[in-house]
Amino acid sequence: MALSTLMHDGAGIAGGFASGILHPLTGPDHLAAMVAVGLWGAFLGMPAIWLLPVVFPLVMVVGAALGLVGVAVPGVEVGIALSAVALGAMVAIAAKPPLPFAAALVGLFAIFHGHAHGTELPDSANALAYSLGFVLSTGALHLAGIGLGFMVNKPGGHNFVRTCGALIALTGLAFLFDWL
Amino acid sequence: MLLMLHNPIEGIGSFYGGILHPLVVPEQALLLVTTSAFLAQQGLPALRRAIPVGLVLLGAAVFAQPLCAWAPPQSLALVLGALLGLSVAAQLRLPLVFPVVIAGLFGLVIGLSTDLQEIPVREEGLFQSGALLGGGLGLLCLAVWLESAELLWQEVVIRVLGSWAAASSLIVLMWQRV
Repeated sequence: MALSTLMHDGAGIAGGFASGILHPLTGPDHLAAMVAVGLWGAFLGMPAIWLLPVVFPLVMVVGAALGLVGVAVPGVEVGIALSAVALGAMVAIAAKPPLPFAAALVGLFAIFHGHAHGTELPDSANALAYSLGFVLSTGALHLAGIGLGFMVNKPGGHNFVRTCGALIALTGLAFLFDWL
Repeated sequence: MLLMLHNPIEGIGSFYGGILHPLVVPEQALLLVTTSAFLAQQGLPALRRAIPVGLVLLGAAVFAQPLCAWAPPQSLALVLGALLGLSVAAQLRLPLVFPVVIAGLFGLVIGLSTDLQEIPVREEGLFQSGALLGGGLGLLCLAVWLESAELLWQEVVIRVLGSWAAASSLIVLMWQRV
């Protein structure tokens, strides 16, 4: 079936959307990193709570562009695993760096996630439906992280959030060793 | 295959197919969400002026589409979606003329994209009425609902939504040009 037909038919849209929804959920390292972005944002408070989850997808576009034009980014999968380690560790050690540093760190890792997304896009039946599914799913993971991060103001919540960060870092570490 | 798009659920009929059309075509759904979020961030006074303009132009464009026989390119909806998504992420408050123009553009783009290929001639009116109802009610309900967001986390959700809508549009625009 021609791609132009798939771009505009019901099956292509549904298939692309379902693939996009499932993609972030089936990669535990990706999933952990997305939750960590929201968690760290909530942990740092305003304006990081909205800035980090907004910076991530916008910088991710740069990584996706590199993937689409075929520019190789070395160690993409290692970078994705490393993002879960680093972002989880930031929450675990209760790091509160200056906002530009936090945004730059999140942006740096977004390039790896974007590159993986960009290289997979040409294979999907409907690119926009795939992207929208991916967006909904990843956005929900960010919001799950933010929701967990709001626990920081509850009694015992500070330690709970830091423990979540440590678990995310450990998840990333497991994938990092798997790739190395 | 185009029939599947116009009647997303088999046997649903032209009227309901028309209602679902702006909601299931990805670029139209994206534009609906970003326009609604953008208008909602501009506040209730802007909504009161912009929504009627959007609805009138949507209706005019839906029923004029067969006469002008031209549909806006998919990339136009994506460019608009990207710009509005960025505006939503930055939570920009713009002068009243902007929401009115954006609502009008929404109506024109969605309306002119409602082509009637594969729709039986005697059911064209039903499909057009459904498309007007789906696009109009979708914009109205979503914008008013998002405008009621007052809590911090609700505003964060809307901004995150805008950034991801912008990112999706930009990625697909680049993908189309590679």
